[in-house]
Amino acid sequence: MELIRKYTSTSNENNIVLNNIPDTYRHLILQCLLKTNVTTVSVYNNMIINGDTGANYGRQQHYAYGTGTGTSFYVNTRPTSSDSSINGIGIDPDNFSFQETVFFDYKGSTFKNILTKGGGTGVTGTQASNNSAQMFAFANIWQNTNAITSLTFTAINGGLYAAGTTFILWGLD
Amino acid sequence: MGIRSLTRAGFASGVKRSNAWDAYTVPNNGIELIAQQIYTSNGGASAIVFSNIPQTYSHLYILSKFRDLDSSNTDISFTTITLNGASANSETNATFGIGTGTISTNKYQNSCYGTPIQRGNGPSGAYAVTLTDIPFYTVAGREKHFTWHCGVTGTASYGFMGNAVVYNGTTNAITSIQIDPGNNGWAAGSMIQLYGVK
Repeated sequence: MELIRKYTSTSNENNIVLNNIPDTYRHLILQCLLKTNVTTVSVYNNMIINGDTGANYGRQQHYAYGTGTGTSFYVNTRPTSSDSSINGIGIDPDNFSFQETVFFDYKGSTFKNILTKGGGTGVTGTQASNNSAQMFAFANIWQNTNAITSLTFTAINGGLYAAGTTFILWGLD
Repeated sequence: MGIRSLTRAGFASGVKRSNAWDAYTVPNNGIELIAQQIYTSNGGASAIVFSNIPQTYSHLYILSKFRDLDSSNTDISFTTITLNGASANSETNATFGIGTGTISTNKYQNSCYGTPIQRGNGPSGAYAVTLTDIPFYTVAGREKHFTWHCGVTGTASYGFMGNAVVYNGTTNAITSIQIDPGNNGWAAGSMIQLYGVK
């Protein structure tokens, strides 16, 4: 396994791009440490591949948030086949959330199958009483046969990536 | 596998840094490929066997991307994993989420299930992709456990995600792993890689 790229935000920012991904590996592994700058809304880490904003992404999603059982605890599955991006995990303003994503056979000539797990926990702010403390797992498919050459990350829902947010991309033979 | 040493312990004294993660030196070659099986064309229903597994890593890590040639069914099936030639005295405990329902819990006694397979009549281009982690594989004198995390999707009405802990009664260090697909052959594009984690 070799490091392809590591990027760390030094200030609040958005639309972070990892491009010129080499085609010399079998799989890609992405690791993210994520923090947002806002406490008033739930922010998520969205991703698009090769700049594709078409409805070409499918998703099976498991997630859970809250504490204990009952109405504050929620877990479900949610298949979707026409997303215009890959939905990522919730981002918290207080603690770093963690995300790990594997892009299987990223340069192959078939659709790309992608697997993500991660989560975070919050302590203050509106998110803490909403859904910042989350566990996520996603299976995604990018319905495109091109090799993956770039990943663009966007914090959605009104927040930015806070300083210290880090993206690490590995190549795995 | 995960990010390691994300602490302030490695900071040089008196050096001002813009954020904590700048101090993290990312190591290369923490995971090494041991063996792989890649199907560039459709294959038969023969088992995949990794033998003579080196005993020089802390644990084993498997990436698999499976689809079979079943032309009748659209969901997933399970491979059977055999460690050191034995699959008896096993148990699989798993959570599954299929489609839009809630997540279910499942226990399969006397079954050593691993790495699901997307059946061949499922959505185009959909493969069941799985991460399998086998810790303490070199330890003798105790039973073995491993975990897997799997997902596949392709249509608005179908998707699968599962997480499992699997128990296997073999007490010797793991030197061979066999993955049996059942009755259907491997579809082109299926692959599995066995890695050693330092």
